[in-house]
Amino acid sequence: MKQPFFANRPLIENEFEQAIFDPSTGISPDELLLTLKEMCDAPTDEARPIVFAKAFAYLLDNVQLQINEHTPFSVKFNLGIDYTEFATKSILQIAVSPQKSRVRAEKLPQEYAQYRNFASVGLDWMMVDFTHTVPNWDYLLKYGFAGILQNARDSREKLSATEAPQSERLVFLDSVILCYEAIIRLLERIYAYSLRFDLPEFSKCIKNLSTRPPETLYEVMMFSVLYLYFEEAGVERARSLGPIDRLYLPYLEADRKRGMAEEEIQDLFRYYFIHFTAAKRFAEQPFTICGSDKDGKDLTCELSHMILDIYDEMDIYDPKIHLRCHKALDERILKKAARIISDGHNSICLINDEAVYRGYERLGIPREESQNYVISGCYEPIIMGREEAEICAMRFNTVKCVEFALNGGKDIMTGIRAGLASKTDIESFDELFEIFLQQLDYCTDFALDFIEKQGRYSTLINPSPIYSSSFAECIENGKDVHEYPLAYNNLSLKHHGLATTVDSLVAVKKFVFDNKEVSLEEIRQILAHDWQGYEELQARITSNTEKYGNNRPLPDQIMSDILEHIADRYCGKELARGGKVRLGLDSVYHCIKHGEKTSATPNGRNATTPISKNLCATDGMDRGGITAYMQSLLKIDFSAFLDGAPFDFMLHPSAVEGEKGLDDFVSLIKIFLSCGGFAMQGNVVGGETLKAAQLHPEKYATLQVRVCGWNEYFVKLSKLKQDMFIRQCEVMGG
Amino acid sequence: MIFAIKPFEIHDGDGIRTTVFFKGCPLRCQWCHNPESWSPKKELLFDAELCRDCLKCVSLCDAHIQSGTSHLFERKNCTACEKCVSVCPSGALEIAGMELSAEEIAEEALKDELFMKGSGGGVTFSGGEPLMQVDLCVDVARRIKARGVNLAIDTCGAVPRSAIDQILPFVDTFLFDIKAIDEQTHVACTGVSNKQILENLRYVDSLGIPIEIRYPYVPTMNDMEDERIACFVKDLKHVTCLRVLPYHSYAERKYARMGLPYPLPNVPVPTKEEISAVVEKLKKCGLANVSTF
Repeated sequence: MKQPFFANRPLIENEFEQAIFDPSTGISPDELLLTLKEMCDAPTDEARPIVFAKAFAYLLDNVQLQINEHTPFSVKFNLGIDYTEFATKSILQIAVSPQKSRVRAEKLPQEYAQYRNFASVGLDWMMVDFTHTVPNWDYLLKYGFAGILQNARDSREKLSATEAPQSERLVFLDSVILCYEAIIRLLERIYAYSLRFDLPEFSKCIKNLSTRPPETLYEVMMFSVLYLYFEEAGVERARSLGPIDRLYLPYLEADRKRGMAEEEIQDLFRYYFIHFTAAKRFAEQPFTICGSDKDGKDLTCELSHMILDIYDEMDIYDPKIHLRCHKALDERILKKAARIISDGHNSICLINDEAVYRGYERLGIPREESQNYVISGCYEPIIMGREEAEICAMRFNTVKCVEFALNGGKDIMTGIRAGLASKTDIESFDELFEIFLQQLDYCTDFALDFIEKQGRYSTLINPSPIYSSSFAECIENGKDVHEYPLAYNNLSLKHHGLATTVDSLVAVKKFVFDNKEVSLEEIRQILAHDWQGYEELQARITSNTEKYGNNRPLPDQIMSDILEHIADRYCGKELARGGKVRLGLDSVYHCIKHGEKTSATPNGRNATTPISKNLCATDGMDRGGITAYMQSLLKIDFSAFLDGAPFDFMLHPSAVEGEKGLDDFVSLIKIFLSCGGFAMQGNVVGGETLKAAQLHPEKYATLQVRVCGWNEYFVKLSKLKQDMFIRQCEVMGG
Repeated sequence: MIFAIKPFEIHDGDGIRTTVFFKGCPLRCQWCHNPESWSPKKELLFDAELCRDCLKCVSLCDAHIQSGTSHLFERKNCTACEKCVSVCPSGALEIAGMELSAEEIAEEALKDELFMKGSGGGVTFSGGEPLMQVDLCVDVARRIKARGVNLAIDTCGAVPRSAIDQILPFVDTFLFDIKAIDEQTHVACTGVSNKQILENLRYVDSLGIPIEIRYPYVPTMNDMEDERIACFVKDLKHVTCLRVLPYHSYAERKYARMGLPYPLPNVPVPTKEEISAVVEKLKKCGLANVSTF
């Protein structure tokens, strides 16, 4: 693209919202959806992967196109996705979605009923997670679209010598072939359409990608953009562009040898990044940079620096960066990242290689393998090309187990006995804690069992020919990735709401059992009536300093006890279908969703209000400041929680201002990493700024805050969420 | 008596620090952002904006009075007995002042030892004027130094020479305020002469202890002092840095909570450009290391 980026930026940074598709190039999404629903729902003898592949091919053959002449990544597809609302569903996803409930109800009727029971009381949330895929970019870039099609055809020919004609393996390969034939047809269609425009480089790039693997930086970026579209058009969501510094460096060097100018290279990256900024995909589009190899050698390269410099200069938050940190990391990179974060550009998440390596070692996976991890989604590592981990299979509200423990397994707001029937004449805190753990085990056991059983039907719910095609193991063995052909086929459970759980248990210990200010029965009644008439007690409990996140021995010990229990019971647990259980502790927005269905809690929280987020202190309770919070967190053995356990910080800009502030911030990061912390992300913003933005949203339209593993515009958050940020800001020195 | 121990302070010396704020100060700087530090005694802070008129405090003492359905606070009747604080559900009532032992202060201040040692930081004594309680300072300082942690003293210098001599063996750095060189200006700004302050500063310098000079720059109050301060500092031999501390008005609400009028309602907060100009001016006066926050 010879056109300078900055002249075109205003014309492309909102291009997805402003896209006008050419009706002559295909069928509208509404009409496509009707046909796709018929194709996906009609009774048929065809195997589900073939049904899906035919629907996918129909979509690609008929989807409307748009060409934007102001960007080298010119083409867009009218998949019916509303990119302005962080929506994720393409029309094909909508068409196939009834299948999930249908399969669950038909194949697992009893479990599905219990699952709905749990979900109705806000205990947990379980899904078949197709939205956190990490394709094997090495394989994809090596073969390209045409090469993968050829590999699938070759494999089919080879396997057909031994397999029955309608075997699952051949069916899978047939589905891949159908999909890739459709991809090649689409590329040819784009090429033909592009000739109407004066875009010779684009046309050539598309033409080349229809016949061979990418060979230039432009082609490799275009390939990635297109592949993401194809997963998105199906049912998945590729949640990492991979380690793009390592992946793209050979192409960059080759382009330089061919005489490509530095400014042109940098502009290409600018166009590439702004493509994702404009797409506004839910939770942003991540990629990973830097890291260490198995021996601790720094993998930072020239491109790592260039990427950070360009990212900084562009003042964007999407795509987001997962920066793999370690003790040998180039000091300039860490300082650069710290400065970008302290300037308020908060979509850089720092991941600790050592913590990740130890997490994999606990699962029996050596560093030779885990060194190739990238982060999928928010904080979850995946060994690219070797592992599938069903990242968000379950999110579990641990606060519910306090409620169940106090009430014999009964949910207070609905009256449903969703938990384990347990005794209510509890005589000591130890007894209560034991019952709490029993409730936790009962509910988690069920969830794990349900997810495992559900996994048997993954390919019936959502065949994954596109994602699977990125793995040699899938192509060579004729297996969908959800039939577990990879080296490591793990599954993830996430427990959240932990600070609210801990604070609640501490409150019962102190006010019921130690000080005997109130009886257990009275507490039950008080919570059932949402503290009405007991506001003074509520205020005293709330202001009590024994809260998680303040480096206090009692709450930190209870947190450790709970996490050790979860880790001992579930971390690395062997799955019947092969693979192991990974654990995580992040909540995303389930701290709000689950809070809405959770009655008042003994820590002074009112019913329906949010429970604690990620590993954060309960809202507004981290009064000891960032260092106390960090010390509480660092008491956790993160090796058991590979699936994400972030340290969310909130700092006032004055705390990181100037050279000294930056140096101290870098020290803070290094201390966190050297003490075994897992991941670090946060906001550098003042409470006064957030309050002003709440009052005058029109003046702060571009102000962003780190929500969980992603950013959102502060002024677009609900008042409830805005207030949570303001409170956190105020207590954490913001 | 102290009134706060604050972790993750980056403005009170090198690295990440925990600052212990001692209560009691001989100066009454017009711009002071810690007015609760002035008195060496406990004081009740009352935030009328937070009060919900629940009246739970009115039966406890004569300082809290019911007026119709509202709560009135009569500060003159308050003995800072603290009874009201524990029943206040909204946080409107708060006590400034904690009587902690040296052991308790040191234990709390060293909770962030990990961060201090990892960042080249340490503990800073500030206030108020910490050396007004020099015995307590020495007792805490001894415990801090026993753990090998860096110690800085943030002092206004208006203390007897003997107080400085007592704390000297434990101090790694002095953070020494110069509010003004001109004595009349100093009296107008702080209520006291600067004679003893400047003598103490020269004395500390003569002992070879590193000193960070801090110049609180307050428009209309001491903003004509920069060249005089530069001349004075140039003659000192162990100054590591002259730091310009821009005036801010964040403390206005604190004054209200203490029942005091805000002394500088009309003083403008200096802009970044203004402070940069002051820094440059000081550098031109021949000072090598001048900075700001």
